[in-house]
Amino acid sequence: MQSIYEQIGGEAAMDAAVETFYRKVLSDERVAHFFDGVDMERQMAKQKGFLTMVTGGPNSYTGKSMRDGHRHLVARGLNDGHVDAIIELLGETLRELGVADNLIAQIAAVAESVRDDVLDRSPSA
Amino acid sequence: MPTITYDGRVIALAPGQTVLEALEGAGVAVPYACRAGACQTCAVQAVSGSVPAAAQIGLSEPRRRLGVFLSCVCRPEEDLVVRAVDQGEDVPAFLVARERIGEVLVLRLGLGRGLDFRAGQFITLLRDDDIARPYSIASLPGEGEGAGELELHVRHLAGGAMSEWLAAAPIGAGLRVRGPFGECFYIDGEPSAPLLLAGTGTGLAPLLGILREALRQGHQGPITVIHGARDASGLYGLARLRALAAEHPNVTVIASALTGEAEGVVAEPIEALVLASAKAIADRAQARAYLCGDPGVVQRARRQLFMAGLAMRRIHADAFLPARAPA
Repeated sequence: MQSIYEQIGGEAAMDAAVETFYRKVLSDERVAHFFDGVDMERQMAKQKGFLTMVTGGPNSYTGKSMRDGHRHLVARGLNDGHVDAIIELLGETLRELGVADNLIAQIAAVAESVRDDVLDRSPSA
Repeated sequence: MPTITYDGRVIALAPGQTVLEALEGAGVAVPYACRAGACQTCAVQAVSGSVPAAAQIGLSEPRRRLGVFLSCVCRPEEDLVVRAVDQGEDVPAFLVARERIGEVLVLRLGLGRGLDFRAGQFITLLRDDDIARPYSIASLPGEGEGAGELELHVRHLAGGAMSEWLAAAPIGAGLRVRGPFGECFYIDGEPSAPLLLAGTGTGLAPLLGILREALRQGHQGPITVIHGARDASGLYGLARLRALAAEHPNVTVIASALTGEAEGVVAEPIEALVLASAKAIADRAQARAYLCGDPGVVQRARRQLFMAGLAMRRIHADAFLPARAPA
């Protein structure tokens, strides 16, 4: 059974998606400031890793690494609103690239599943 | 079965063996981590022989052109000569000519031995006492007498350890050149791609190399060159750029200086000029940009270009940082 990653076009699709996604993130006032002064190429590589992970592609991201990787941003006020914004921008990106709604919903669910890791809190009951 | 030559040793590959396994089997310690073609820790460089495309996935186009590949997933189909990435060669050099234009020294160095480089790359210049500074190459491979020459642009900084010496060194003075390094070079095979070359100060050096290499290869697409200096007196390459634009209708030159006046020179910041030029490009996804010079300008311009629709992997940047004394 093909992963969503393979269904939407694998690595080539990731390359297109990550550019669109990263542009949206940098244009969105809600979240753009978290990316100030960051090395853009390295950030894009991380965004590609994130997109690969949520679409079920080959990846090296774990819940722990999401937690450790965002802890410094939590200290700067990263909250549910920001996570909502990112998931929204992710959905917009996938829609623009012609990904079917049902697949987008599945991808958003995977992104949701790391919300507590990103925000460094215990899972709510 | 193909062989790998590493450090002069010829290593035979067992059937199905990867380059990493073969090197490790021969006692060569290659750094590695994922062993799955993702992390790039095991990257090495093939200086001879081509590698399968699968061994270059995820690497930038310039790195692929330089023969960099991931040894953990490389099962070569032909013999390779392999070395560490960015190893560079040491070549003796000597000062052939020096011209001063304002604060910039335009130097020509003769090489004692051929150096295999691409226009726009940089070398480390070493003095006998091992003072070392990186400078970009403005000339093209094959230019000059003998084993070849390099043209370098050096800003003469008051108190600059290397530049003060270069400003006064006698013709014939000996040096060493190590390299080449860097990924800012002309990518051939895309003759219609719109090119945007933008830089400040001596960032013009690699851009001039890339421009001339593009023209030498018959580049057809529009080429926009933007050079910025703090003062108009710092636009040391303007005459040369304008001469090239006069000969090649696809070349447009824009010069900017924040102070001072000169004919045809505007006073707008480079970032604004880069953005305006990018917006004037119809096929932005095919465009390739090269940004060289002041790190702040390079970073801001890269962001502008990406947001305007250029692909990140088609924006090549070389930030010039001044040397610092040890603390």
